[in-house]
Amino acid sequence: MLREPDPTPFADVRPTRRAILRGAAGFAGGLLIGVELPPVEARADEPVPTGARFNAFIHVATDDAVTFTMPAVEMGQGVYTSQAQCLADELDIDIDRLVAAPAPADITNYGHPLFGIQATGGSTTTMAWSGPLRKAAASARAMLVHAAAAKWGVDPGALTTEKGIITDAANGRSVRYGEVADAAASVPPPGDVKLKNLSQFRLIGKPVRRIDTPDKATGKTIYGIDVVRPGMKFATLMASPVIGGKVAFVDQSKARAIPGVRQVVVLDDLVAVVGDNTWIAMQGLHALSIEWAPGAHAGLNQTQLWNDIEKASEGAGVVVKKEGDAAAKLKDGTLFDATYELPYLAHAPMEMMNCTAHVHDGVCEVWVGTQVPGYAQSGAATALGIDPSKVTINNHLIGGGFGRRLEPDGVVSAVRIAAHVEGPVKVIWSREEDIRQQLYRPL
Amino acid sequence: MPTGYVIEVNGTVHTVEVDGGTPLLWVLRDVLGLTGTKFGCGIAQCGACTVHLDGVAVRSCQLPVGAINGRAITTIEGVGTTPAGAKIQKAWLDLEVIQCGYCQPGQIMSASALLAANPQLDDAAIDAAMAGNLCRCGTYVRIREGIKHAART
Repeated sequence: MLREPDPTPFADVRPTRRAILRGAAGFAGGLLIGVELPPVEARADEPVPTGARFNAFIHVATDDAVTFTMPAVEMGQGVYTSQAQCLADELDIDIDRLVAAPAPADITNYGHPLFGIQATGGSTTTMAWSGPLRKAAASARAMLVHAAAAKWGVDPGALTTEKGIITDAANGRSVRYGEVADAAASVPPPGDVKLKNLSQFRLIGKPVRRIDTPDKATGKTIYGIDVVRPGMKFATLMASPVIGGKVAFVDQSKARAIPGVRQVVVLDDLVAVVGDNTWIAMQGLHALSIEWAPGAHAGLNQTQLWNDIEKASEGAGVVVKKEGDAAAKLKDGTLFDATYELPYLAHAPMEMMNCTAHVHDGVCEVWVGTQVPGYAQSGAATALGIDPSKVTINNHLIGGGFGRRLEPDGVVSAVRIAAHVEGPVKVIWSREEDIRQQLYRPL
Repeated sequence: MPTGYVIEVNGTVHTVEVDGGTPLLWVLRDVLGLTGTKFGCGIAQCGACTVHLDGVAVRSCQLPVGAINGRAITTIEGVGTTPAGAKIQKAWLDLEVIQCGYCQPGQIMSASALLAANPQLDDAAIDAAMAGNLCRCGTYVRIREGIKHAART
């Protein structure tokens, strides 16, 4: 029997052809996909405490540091740089001056313009986000110019911007963005902003240095797996090796005898060991004797899956497009006949699944690298029986996604474990468990 | 029972209270907070955890802290202070070798040990030395070019 496909978050939100075309037409006609740019209040986690937030994507500090909140997560594909190109070009700042921060779970401000959910995937970031980000940056630039114009009592149209400086050439004066940031943030965002044209681009379409790689070359980058919280414990887990299976019995005695093993968490479908470091937790897990009740799928195997697929392929297919007389053409010439089969494959990102979570006082804090912060938030909330607003997702750079982190399953397992642990706990999958619990690509 | 082990990492001496069998990887990451060294497999098959032990590239996931015996440890956080490490890190940026970057601390540690030991490198020598470092993004071609680029500087 074939396993029923999981209702994956991504499956029902792939961009329809119509949505893609609508987006593309928007660019061609110069009518960018509209995003609302309501004024956004400064957030408690604002990276730079002074200055002003212009919209969901841009914060300008009084010392001129510009923080870009990136709606799409960086996992090696280079989108922190491409998003920064869009923002920095329209804002008129140097690309090496900016601070890049991952967006929080917030579908209102960071929902994917094509998918309608908060997700990074499908090679869609530049297509979906370049328009809204340019508009956001152009809007912030206009607000800064208006603030400077008001300060000097001149027409905003007489002012120019370059490298974070507003210049009034006629009167020989200039002001830095940071100096007018506070005043500018209270300027109403313009309803309509003029975007740069092709000849005005300094960064868009030009080769630039990646903004994420210098820290990656020196080990400074903090991926989800590198998160350290005060008082944090370390855990590793084993979930049922058969989908739908349950824990039948766990002998914890040998694990509990290992110095540094603090806790064994037994849930209905997984077992985790919590210790003073990851190695201790792994030793503890190895020392457990777990009996599984594998359930209805115990007999499922690859041969049976192939047989089922072969049988299904003998039936009538679905006609996607019919044009010309294919049957006649196939008879007319040499027929090349081949069968291609691909097994289930793990995505196997180098950074294996991990998630740090702290469940306390009715709230849940999560530190992870995810392609779907919104689903991570709602998945954690559902698992804990709390409102999604009580779950904070702190997203991180990702050590390889390949689609594996389009599913929030790791976050859900981690928060379920964390609910039984005092203080924050970093849950790391072993590579064996990471492969065993992959949501495989299709046959 | 855990006892204190004295280890020197990037020129700084630490005393760590762990079991002697604890792999250096987890001492670096979980005890000292040096998270630049990565966990990728735990069985010396991927190279993400590569560090230098007296300048030689080793897999820290297979090196018990109790077996270090005073040898100097260099990690990705410190390798930039060595001539070969600095050249490799610069080459990695000059050629934009890095994508997701998770394997790159290990790649850089292996490459810098190789360059320090043998500045005259051909493709065969590079491939032999780097074969144990996996990259899921597939940056292998640029890694090879990066090492040659560094060797020329």
